[in-house]
Amino acid sequence: MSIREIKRLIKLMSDDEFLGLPKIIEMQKKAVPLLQKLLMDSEQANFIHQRALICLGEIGADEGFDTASSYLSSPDPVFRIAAARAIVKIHPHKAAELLMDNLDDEDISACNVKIQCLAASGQTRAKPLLNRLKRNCKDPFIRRSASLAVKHLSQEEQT
Amino acid sequence: MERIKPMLGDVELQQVQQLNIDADQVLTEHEIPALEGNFYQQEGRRGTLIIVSGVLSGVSVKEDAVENPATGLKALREKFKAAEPLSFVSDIMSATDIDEVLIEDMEVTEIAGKPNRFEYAFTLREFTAAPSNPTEPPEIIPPVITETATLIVEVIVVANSAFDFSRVSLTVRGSQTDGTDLFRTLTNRNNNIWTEEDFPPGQYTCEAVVLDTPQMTGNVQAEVRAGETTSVTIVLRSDVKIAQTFMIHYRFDSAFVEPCMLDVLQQVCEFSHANSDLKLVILGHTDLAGSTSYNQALSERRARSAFSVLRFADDNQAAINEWDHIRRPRVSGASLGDSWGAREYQQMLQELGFYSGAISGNHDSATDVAVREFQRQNGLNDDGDVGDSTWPVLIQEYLRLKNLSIPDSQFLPNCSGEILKWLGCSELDPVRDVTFAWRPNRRTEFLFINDDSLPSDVVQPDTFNKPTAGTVNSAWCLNDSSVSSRCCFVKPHVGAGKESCTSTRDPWPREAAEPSPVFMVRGSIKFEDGTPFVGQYTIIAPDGEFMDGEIPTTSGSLRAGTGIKGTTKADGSFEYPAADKHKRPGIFTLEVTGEVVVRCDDQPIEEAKGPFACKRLASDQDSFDVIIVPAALANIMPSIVVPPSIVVKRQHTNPQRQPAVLSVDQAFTGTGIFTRSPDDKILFFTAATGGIALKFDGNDNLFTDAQLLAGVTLFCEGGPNPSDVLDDITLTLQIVVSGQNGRAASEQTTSVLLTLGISSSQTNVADELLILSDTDKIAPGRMLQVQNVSAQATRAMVILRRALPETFAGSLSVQAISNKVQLFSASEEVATPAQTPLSLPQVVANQAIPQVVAAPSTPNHVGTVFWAEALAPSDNALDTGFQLGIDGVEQDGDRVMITAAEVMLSNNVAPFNTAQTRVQIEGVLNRLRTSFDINDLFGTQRDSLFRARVTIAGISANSIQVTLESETEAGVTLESLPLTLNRTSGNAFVSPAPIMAIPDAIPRADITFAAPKSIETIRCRAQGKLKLSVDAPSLDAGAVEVQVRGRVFQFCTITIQGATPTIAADMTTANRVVAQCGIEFRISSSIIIDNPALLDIAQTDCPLTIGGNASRDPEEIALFALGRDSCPHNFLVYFVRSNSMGLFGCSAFPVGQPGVSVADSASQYTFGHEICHVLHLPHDARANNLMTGAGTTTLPATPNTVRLEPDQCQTMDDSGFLEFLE
Repeated sequence: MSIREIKRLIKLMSDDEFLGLPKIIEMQKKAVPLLQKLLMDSEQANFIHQRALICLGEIGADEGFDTASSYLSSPDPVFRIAAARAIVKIHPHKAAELLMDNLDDEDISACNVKIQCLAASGQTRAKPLLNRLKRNCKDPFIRRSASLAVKHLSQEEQT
Repeated sequence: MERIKPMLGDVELQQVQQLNIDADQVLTEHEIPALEGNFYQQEGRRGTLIIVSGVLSGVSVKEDAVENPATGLKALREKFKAAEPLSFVSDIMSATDIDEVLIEDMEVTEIAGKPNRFEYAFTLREFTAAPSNPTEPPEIIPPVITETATLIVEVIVVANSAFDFSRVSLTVRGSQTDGTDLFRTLTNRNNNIWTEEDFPPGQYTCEAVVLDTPQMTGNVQAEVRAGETTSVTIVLRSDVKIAQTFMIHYRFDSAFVEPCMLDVLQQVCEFSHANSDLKLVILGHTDLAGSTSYNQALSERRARSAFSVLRFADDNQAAINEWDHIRRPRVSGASLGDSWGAREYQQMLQELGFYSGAISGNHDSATDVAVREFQRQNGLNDDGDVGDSTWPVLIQEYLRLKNLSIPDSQFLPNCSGEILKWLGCSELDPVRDVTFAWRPNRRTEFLFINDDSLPSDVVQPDTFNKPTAGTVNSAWCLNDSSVSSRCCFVKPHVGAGKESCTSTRDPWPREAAEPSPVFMVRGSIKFEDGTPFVGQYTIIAPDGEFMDGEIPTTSGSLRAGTGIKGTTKADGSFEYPAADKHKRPGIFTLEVTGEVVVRCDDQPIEEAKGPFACKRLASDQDSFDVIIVPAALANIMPSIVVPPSIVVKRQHTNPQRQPAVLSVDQAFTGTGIFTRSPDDKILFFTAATGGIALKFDGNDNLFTDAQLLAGVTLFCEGGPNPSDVLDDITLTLQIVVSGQNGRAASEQTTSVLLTLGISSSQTNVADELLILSDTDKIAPGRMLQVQNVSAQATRAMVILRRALPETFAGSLSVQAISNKVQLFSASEEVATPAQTPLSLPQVVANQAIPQVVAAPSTPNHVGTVFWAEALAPSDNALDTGFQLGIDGVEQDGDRVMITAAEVMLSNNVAPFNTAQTRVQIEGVLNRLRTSFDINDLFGTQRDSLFRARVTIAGISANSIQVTLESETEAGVTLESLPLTLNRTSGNAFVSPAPIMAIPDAIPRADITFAAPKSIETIRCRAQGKLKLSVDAPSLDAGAVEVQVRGRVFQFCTITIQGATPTIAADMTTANRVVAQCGIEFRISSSIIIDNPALLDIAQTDCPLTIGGNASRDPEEIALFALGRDSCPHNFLVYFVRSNSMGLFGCSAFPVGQPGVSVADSASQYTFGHEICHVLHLPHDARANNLMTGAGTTTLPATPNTVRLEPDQCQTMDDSGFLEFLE
């Protein structure tokens, strides 16, 4: 598999279908370095980078965790969101730590996605942070999102 | 020796107690200057005064004693009253040498407590007889000086010390000592006392009258003696009601109201209208010839016939019925029949102008001719018999001459709801108590009174229930006390003794309604040429008196009640200087004896109807001058027949001239002069068309006897000016024989101006609708567009003005000049296919047309409004329009001219079939080409090409310029395309190249056409309009609009706040692509929703199941639920920032909530691509296809190269999502 091939697969898509995704997932860890290279190529379109992050998450290999997590601090909220969704699929425990550290996000949607990902991680230790957020965040949408996350984690805890 | 008793005449004075004699001389003292003492001039001895007094006693001295009249007081009083010289003998008289005395004073005193004893005292004055006339007259006869006297009249108004005596009219009438009558109004007033010096001695009645409210009158007798002052007093009471009186008089034993008396009744009517607060009582009378009972019915007939004349206009039929009963034969008893015959109908026919002969009472040949002519003119059987069918018509026409009216409210009440119509007094209240026939007694009085009831009860009239009970009134309610009196409510009642008068209230004094002094009656009778008529005549005064006397009783051939004829003097004059013949003002009747026709000198010859003339004389300044009209003049009857209304000819109208026929009824020798007045409202021509207009210069309006006998037909047209009021044009035909005017015929007509207006064209619907001027409405006239099937052509206002004069009562008629135009009602300004045109002609009553009552607003839309449209194009300029006329008279009173133009956009294959004028933009471009071959276009898509055609008359050039504009639905011009249309045949101009409407989304530059064939293109939008306007030569050629038919897909968009879509660009790109299928995407609404949870949605898949996708992710489901309530369409496009699958968009939607989502990462085609998925298009591998499954980023960047194939267009058509808009 070459970087060209991974690029082709990344672009193999209709407007409404990601046709190359199954083949990239089949490649598992082998695809991670290629995806990392692709992500490092700033010439690629944003949607290529977004899809690469999506692929890292769908592959779920630890090798891709750091690359993906590095995008938690991307200036583009779409990348931050894609990164959050990817890392929680790769390593939920580690992802929770990072998400708790990077939970604060000026983009409400990105913040919301991070809270959702934190809840999806199942890490109950995140509850105090989420409770503080639930009580103290100025944005009612985030307070509500945090509340739902705490509720979700509490349910996870009981099960 | 017994002393002799004094004797006064033959009466012996008893118990003389004292006798004194007083005799003295008359000395006049003269002072003599410079001498002492005066000089006394002896002027003779006064008559000796003898005063004798004594006592009378005994029963025999009573005034009523008859036993000893020689010694009684009665005898002495008679001596005193006689004032004749008496001999007086007494013992002491021998010394005085007195032979005769006059009783100057007589006093008688009854002594109290001593019955039958009286003291008496006589003052006797020596009587000296006047010297006898000398046997020979002196040589110089001294002038006779008439001694005059002074009359002082004092008027007292009871219980009104502040009365204004200037309101009193004081008159004195009576006989002077020399026998002449005197009537004088006294004017020298000092407060309430009138003093008239130098008043002639005589016996008079002084009468004071106050006619304004409260009315009062009173009178007193005054004997004015020469050299004396006579003082009388008149006492007025304000509660006295005075009857102001008119009267008419009758032929002996007749109740027929003669023609001259109709003039009096007209005065009665006019007085009634001017004094509506007064009540009218009609009172019939007879003279004293005949029995009282017979005269009762006669007096009632007179009152009834007069009542009917006065009330004819109020109830024609009642009046006719009443006269028709009165005219019937008399029967015994209280007859309503008055037995009218030839005399009466001769008078009626004469007054109506059918008979000019003598009123003989004989139905002679002339009368028969007149009767038959009357019958013919009134639609009766002309049998010459005045019977039951002719009488009512004759009566009707006779009474219609005056057509008088007096309302119920001016009569006294009778029973509830009924009025006191009339009363008859029989002979009981004559003007003069003479037992023979005397016309002034044969009268009906009309009493105007300020009262609300009769002063006394009155017995029910004898003919009250004639002809049947209830005919007059239902009952009689004016005799509660069962009196027998009939006319005691008026005074003076000259016929004292004829009727016992006991009033319950003061009777009404009668006063002439127009009190004026008497005057001498005079006049003359001459022929037309001034020759005096020396012959007999009869004249009757207003009071009914025959001025030359009346036959009092029938004697031989002289019948009672007929007037004695007078004879004119050599110069034709007559006069009645005798004081007792002086008369008060009123209508006089004069009949010239003989077969003549007369008129008063101040009347036109038309008034000469027979030997009678009526004239009002009011003072001795008036003269009853009568002209005898020659038969040659009198009998020629001219006539004019002219239409009652004539239409004014305008410059642009050509009304048919109306005939006016001038004629005479018989041959004569002379001319007829035809005149008109005024001269600016009607024109006369010698022919119906062309001919010469009469100048009325004295030659062209002069017609010979032969011409008139044959009948002269002139032809008239109205104008140049209309009438100001109805019948203000008078046409006259004057007959002239030997320089003398004969009869003239006059007719009135009206010149009617008709006006029809039409609105100018509106270049902007919002502009005011202006009415073309009278000039412009003819040329250039109005261009009107032929209506199309979709009823889009605007209509023109046609406005019908009220004809002048505004009182014209006819109906106006609006007619189309040709069948190229039609009218709609006022409410149908905007055409719709369902409307039905009005049937023509439209007839409108002139009085129903709104009238301009003030300065009209601008534009002036006052009138009856219609809306006009064209049905078919004109063959020639201004070849159609509308005409306005008078219904049934003339149609061409005014016009508005129209050129009908047809403007069409039509199918190219079957041009100008109006059923196919819609333009379709679908189809033409769905072959994705940048260049076109006409032949290709004409292959299967010909219907999408069209042409423009205008059919317009009056164009000399072979081409016209038009403009084809494309407008959006909102009316915004999208594109304007100038076109030249070339004449193909006749008035038709057609665009040489076909026109193709292309979707607005397609740039014109993107399309090219293969040479040499050309094609015009114009961009348009579905549901927009294509409007074809004719630019020249007329601004008002109209325009045609066609709506563009197209398929659209409408939806709403929702942008999640934070997403950054490029919606406008996406729409432009999408429309440029889908335009190939004739489809237009339309966004109905676009909103932004703040929902961070849906900005970057999480979705696990986007299953592409065409037309039936189902979203499963909660956020996707939440997203597609947004905006469903606010969007009118069940399709929404959601713009998000991203989705968790990294897709550009997705067309999967929850069941029942169709829509697509588009992410910020989408290409310019994703928007259209996803929507077309919903329109049932799957991914398509054909080159450059919008529906590529390889990602739209692979498509060419230029949208017009991205394709949708016909099968895809068809698939979308069949999807059920598209709307077809027209």
